[in-house]
Amino acid sequence: MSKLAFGLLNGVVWGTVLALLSSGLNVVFGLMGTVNVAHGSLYMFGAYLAWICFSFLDSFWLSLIVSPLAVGLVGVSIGFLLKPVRKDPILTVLGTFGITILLQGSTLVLWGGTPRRVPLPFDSTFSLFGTGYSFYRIFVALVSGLVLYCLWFLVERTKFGLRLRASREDPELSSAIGIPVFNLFLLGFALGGALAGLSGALIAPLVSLTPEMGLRIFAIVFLIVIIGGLGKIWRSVVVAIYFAVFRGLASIFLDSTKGLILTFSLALLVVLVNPSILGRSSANANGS
Amino acid sequence: MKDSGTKLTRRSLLKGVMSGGLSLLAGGFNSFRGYSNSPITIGLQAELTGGLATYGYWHLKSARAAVKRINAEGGIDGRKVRLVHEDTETDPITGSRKMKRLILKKGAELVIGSQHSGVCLASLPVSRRFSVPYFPIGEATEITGSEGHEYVFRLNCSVEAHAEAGYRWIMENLGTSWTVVYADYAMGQSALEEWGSRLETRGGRIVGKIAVPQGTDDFGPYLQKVDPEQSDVLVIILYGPDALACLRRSAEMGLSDELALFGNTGSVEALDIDFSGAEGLWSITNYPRRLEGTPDELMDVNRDFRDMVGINPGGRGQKGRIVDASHFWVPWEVVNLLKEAIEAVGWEVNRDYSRLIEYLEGADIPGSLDYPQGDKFIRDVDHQGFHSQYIQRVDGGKLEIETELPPEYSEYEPNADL
Repeated sequence: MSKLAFGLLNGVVWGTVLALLSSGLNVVFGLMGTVNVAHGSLYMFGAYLAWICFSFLDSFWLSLIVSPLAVGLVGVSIGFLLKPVRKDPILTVLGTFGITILLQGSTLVLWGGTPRRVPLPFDSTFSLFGTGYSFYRIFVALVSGLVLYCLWFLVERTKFGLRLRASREDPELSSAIGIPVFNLFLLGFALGGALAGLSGALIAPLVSLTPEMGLRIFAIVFLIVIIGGLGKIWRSVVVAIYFAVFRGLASIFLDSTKGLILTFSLALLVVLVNPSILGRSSANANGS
Repeated sequence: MKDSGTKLTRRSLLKGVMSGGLSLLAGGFNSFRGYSNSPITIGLQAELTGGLATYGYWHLKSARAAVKRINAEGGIDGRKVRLVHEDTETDPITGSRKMKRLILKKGAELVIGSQHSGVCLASLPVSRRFSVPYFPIGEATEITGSEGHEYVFRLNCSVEAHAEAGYRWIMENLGTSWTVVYADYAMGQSALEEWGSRLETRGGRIVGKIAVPQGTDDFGPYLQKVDPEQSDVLVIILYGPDALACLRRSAEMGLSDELALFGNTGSVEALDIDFSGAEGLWSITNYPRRLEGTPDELMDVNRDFRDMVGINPGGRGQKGRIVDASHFWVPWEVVNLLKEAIEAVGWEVNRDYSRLIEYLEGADIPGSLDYPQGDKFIRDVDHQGFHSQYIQRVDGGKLEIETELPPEYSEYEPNADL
């Protein structure tokens, strides 16, 4: 029973961070229609910035501001770079994959392949069903939840969000009525980058930092966005939490391989039973 | 029309034959002399990118330092040594392709292999196909066992040698009931089998086997399976980032207060262990990270060796990068062993390695600047090297050597006759 409760709570905590990371991709992919393969590397970059803030400036907390800002700027730069090819999905995938290799390679050259570590900002733990559990994990879940709510509000309840969605639905018409489509495209990249950077900084004290960490998590995040539905922030949150909880419980009660197979099989089943999820996504991605 | 140019006379025939013969003789002599003076090309498969990039960085430095020293001293039998390398990207398919490239495009006559067992296993058929001697560093037992062949020699200990040397020490010093957390791929599964079977034959038991996928960030669910009341020891068979994540989560969950922690060679390899979660961790290693851990009689040669590779006495490079102490010495020693063997057998005929292989089979290798890790021998039947191993402990953020396990502790029954 205690294992079940641990698995549920731990899954929700990991799920919120995954949801935050997925939401960044969802903004760029779901709302801007661009497959940003470099999203995982932006997350890695945010985590390394947290390590730099801790190691050289002796302040992890500073990274919660520095990482989103710096990675947001990188996001804008990627947006500029993609300007000539942004309407061609194949070229944007290739372009952002190139950026992934560039970011990953630069990190390896600058800081080597040695796994890096950021200490937990809170030393204190509490007993969760007889097992030590860091307060910092709860903090991460709360901050992620708050940011996700703000993002939802921004996209669904503000004029900015309305313009963002409108420019995605019909760029020509939006442009004709005076919406600065390309500026919104850049802002979308900035927002996606900032969310990736914040996710990386928040998660840095909980994981081992390596140049490959971004590429590794990208496949999961991409799947979450696809199953949740492009542009659907809350549905992605639900899928992310499902993924983290189910995989965690499967790892506790089964073995790792069976857990992974079951988690992805169930996700596949959802897509097969309700193909409209993918159909809608594809339609959106094609700009129809 | 006068046809003077094509008239064949006895004199012209004789001239032709003589000049042709001289040309052939001169050409043959030149090519032979050119061959004798041509450099010996040694290849290196290095993990310069991907999950084991830390290892490849040091392996390349180690091999380069050895080649530089040999060339400065006149080369091998008067021939210069040329080092060529390829990045395996820590991927078996790429690694195997790069092995071919080393041989076919870069002319490698001998190849020092990868740290990644999967890359080594994928490269073994290439080595056999082109009959090129291969010196892998990867530790999977099969490399000098069921998958090995006559051209394969491994200087460093295998997974089975680590288990053979280490299991008794753990049983006698830490406990007989183990929970094993292992990487869920070939190396981890092989290590679980080797350690587990030995433990159980000596009356110990494994109370939990926890397989963890490579690249796991959240160890919480996996470590939930550990029952501290049933186990004495948590044995960690993980590498790099996974080992680091596991240690940190064990400390957070309070497991390191209730159990003894023991890691395989990779568990602390190239990791910064100066954090509370690693404190008290025991592990086995081929070679001490810190200079002061090396045996007294080899201290001076190890100081020189480290200087030449660019490693300080604390086990860090110029940019503060931590060395993969358990393995980085292998390329250095292999290059020196090749020099010794080639000079001993007078190996000159390209692609005829039979005398070289005979020399290496059963070689006794004494500790020296050429072999700073210490005394070792290569078993003739399976081409597997055996050397001292060390039990170390994280104490005050440093790796302290607790005891040396001599080479005979590691020797196990051969799995193949190569």
